[in-house]
Amino acid sequence: MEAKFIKELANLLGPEHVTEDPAVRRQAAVGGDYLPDVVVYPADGEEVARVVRLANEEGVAVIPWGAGLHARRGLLPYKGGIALRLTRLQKILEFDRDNQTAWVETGRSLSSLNEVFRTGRLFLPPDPLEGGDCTLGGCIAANAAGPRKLGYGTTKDYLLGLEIVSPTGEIVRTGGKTVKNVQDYDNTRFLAGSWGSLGVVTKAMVKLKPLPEKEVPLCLGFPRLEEACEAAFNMRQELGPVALELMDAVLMEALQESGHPLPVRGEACLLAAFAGFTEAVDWQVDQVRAKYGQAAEVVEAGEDEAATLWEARRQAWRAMGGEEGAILGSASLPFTATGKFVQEARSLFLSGQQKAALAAHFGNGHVHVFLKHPPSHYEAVGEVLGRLQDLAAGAGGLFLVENINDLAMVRRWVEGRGPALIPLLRRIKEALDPRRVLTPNSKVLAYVLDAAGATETAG
Amino acid sequence: MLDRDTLSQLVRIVGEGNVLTSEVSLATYMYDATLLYGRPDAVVFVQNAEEIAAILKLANAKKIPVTPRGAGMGLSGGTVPHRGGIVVVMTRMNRILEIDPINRVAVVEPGVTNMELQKAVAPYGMVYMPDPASQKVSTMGGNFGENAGGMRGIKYGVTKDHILGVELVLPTGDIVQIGGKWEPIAPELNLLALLIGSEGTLGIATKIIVRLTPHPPAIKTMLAVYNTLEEAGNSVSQIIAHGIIPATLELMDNKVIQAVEDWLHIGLPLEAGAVLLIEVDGFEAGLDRQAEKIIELCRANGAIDVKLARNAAERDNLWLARRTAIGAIARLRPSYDLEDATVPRTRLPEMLRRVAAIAEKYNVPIGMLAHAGDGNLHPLVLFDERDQEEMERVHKTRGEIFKAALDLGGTLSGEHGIGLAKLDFMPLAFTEVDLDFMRRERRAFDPNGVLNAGKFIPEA
Repeated sequence: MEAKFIKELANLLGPEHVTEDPAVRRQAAVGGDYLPDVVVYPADGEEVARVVRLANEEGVAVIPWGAGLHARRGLLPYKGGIALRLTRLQKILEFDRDNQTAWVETGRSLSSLNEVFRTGRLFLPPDPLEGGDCTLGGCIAANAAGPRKLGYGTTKDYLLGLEIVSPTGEIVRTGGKTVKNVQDYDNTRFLAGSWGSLGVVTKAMVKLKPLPEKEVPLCLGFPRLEEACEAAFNMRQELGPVALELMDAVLMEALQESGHPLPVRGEACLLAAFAGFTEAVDWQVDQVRAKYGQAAEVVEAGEDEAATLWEARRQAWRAMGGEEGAILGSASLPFTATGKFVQEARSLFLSGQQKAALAAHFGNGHVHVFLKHPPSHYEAVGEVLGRLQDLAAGAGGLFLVENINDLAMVRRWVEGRGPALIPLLRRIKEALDPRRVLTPNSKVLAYVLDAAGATETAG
Repeated sequence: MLDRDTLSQLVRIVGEGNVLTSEVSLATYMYDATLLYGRPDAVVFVQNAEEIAAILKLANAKKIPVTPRGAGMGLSGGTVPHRGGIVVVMTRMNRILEIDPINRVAVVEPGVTNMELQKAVAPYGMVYMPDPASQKVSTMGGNFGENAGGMRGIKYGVTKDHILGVELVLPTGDIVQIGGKWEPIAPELNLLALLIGSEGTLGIATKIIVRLTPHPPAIKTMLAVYNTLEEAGNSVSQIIAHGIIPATLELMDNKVIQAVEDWLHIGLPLEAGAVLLIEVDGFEAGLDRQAEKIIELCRANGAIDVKLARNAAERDNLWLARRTAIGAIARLRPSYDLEDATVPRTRLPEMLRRVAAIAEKYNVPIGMLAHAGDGNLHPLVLFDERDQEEMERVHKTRGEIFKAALDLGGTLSGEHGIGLAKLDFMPLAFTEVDLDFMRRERRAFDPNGVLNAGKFIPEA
């Protein structure tokens, strides 16, 4: 990147908000040796717009960046360009307790936002496993959600409107402040999960929920995986938990070893949370005890234990990945096929002596598979992955490998849903970002814009 | 007029009996539920996605405007063929293709009415939550196109919260699948978000996958009567501030109360300033306490009477006034215009005051209904369409209502859409830059501008 360009950035933002320090650049990069050329820290949406306009003039890539906690899931490694760190966008411009909304800048972390919202007995529900340090902007880019997705949905469900900086550097408003609003195309939700490819979200009008009177997480250990699956099925049908997570014995053991032991034993455990009015939650918990108290070890978590429990669930990836990393697969299934998939995958691993763990957002039919195998030797486990694909497809679902940057399969899958989709997506990107400066490495569009770029390997 | 070649190609695509061009037929498809009109050149009944695709390919080749239409219940002119061309009628695609209660999904064709779907899933203990007032006749395709709302918005959201995927014919005549029944895990843009509520400008849905919700195990219904609108509005805010999110919070003003009472004689106090219909649902345990708290809050905020339904029959009775409100008030004058300006919930009392002042200023009677929980006001503006002078006052009234809503931090439309009816007001709500962003998206979908052109987003 030319010195002249860096100087122009420094003129725009002040030299103290522009850096080429390699250590700082590394913090805003997805992979190893591929770093941005410069990291900038705009103060607000207006400054973001100026940076994006300058980048358009020069044809330089701009990649918005918050805490970087989701980045690997949605971005490919990219060399060069501007990392646009939004961490100075911290303001809560309006916290309207009565309307249960807030108009906030997106560089602020979820936990810090919720600290403020809780003073009004309200909260913003998304609880990504990446933790409370995630910025709101990152959660919007990723449309993040966590275990409570079952009860509360994803980030997009809490967005009423946005201020975005378009890829050509204009400030655009979407949506508004009301739940019912049909005066524009729903760009508010369209931008959620777009990984910064169509606009930089600089402010969001978020919809908040009243804090539940009571929330109780329960941990249930089952002697057999099959029983855990059956219990999970029935619990979702009858008792309406807000979270319903399943973890298998391999994962439980890995968590134990990494210092995050679960309070129960068995071949599998369920983490079920109930939230709402006190009487209803008490009833739900009583029902769980009455129905599963015999077959399972049931532990009700108090406030401190609850934090430990969720923390253990959050550590699953690190516990399985260790130093060399692991391959992370994801299956999306009919709820009715989830238990069967989990059990068949378990038998598959046993028969192939494959070290692998399973964790499921059971209520959502979403199963994560952690293969204890370095992602760099991805081909060696091709057969197992193929079998998992067949298992999911056989149930009418889909299995994808998440942390391998091979998007050829995604491209084939999207094409299978209509050959016109790829040209349509390309036209959308070109219409909004004619110079293709904004987040050219987003996975959601990489396979659209550049079929070859879709198979770039991880750095 | 369509040329002979175009007509014969249409006949080849859908069959002789499915292309209408007689004056009477064309006149029948000129309108929707607004007062707007536009004469089409041909009306075509379609049976499947392939036929629609072929029609759109033809329309692109010849640059003919195409207007998709369900039951024609729209309240913003979205299905009015104001530029002529072809009206594509979807009502024969009316099969419910699948109901899967355990996975909580159903798949329907777009011509199925909202109510037909409700009735079909009810035996499984399921509900399709969006319930627009037009649900007996309005189609799922129309609900999808307009992002229809309803009475349960505050707790359960609107159409966009309950559609999981569609089969869609793009404006270019290509058939694609978007979204799906299960958790979306592939790295994909959320095109579905853009499509729901796109008012038939970005594609025509030919299959719709919807989310079903288990019927709430218990429901409590209450009706509170107030001397003033203010007190009713305050009650709404207070209930929600106490952490209770009712499924329904419907407000009716004095004009509506009088019209209903005059028609049905169900014992509503004629002098009441407002009534509030409130419903909470959920697990049985704890619901009594919520209902008691609501009653207490209503009384504390000035309710002169609060009734709690003790059984299904009483519940129906409490709902009667709300269900018949529009019919009752529409009896007062030859025509009415139903608006849907929406403001943040706490601004609703102020909005009601402003609308009352506007009604007085222009001497136009306005009855007010509101989905009070989500700040969604339905002013029913009453008039005689044949009276030119009165129509001018009505026009000014509408304009001022929209301006008031925007002024209070609200929106031109909460659930009816922009279509043609509110097109002129779009520059009040958006900057030219905002509008251009949407125009560019629209061109990406519809490079030749054939699908519902000239509606929703004002042309540059």
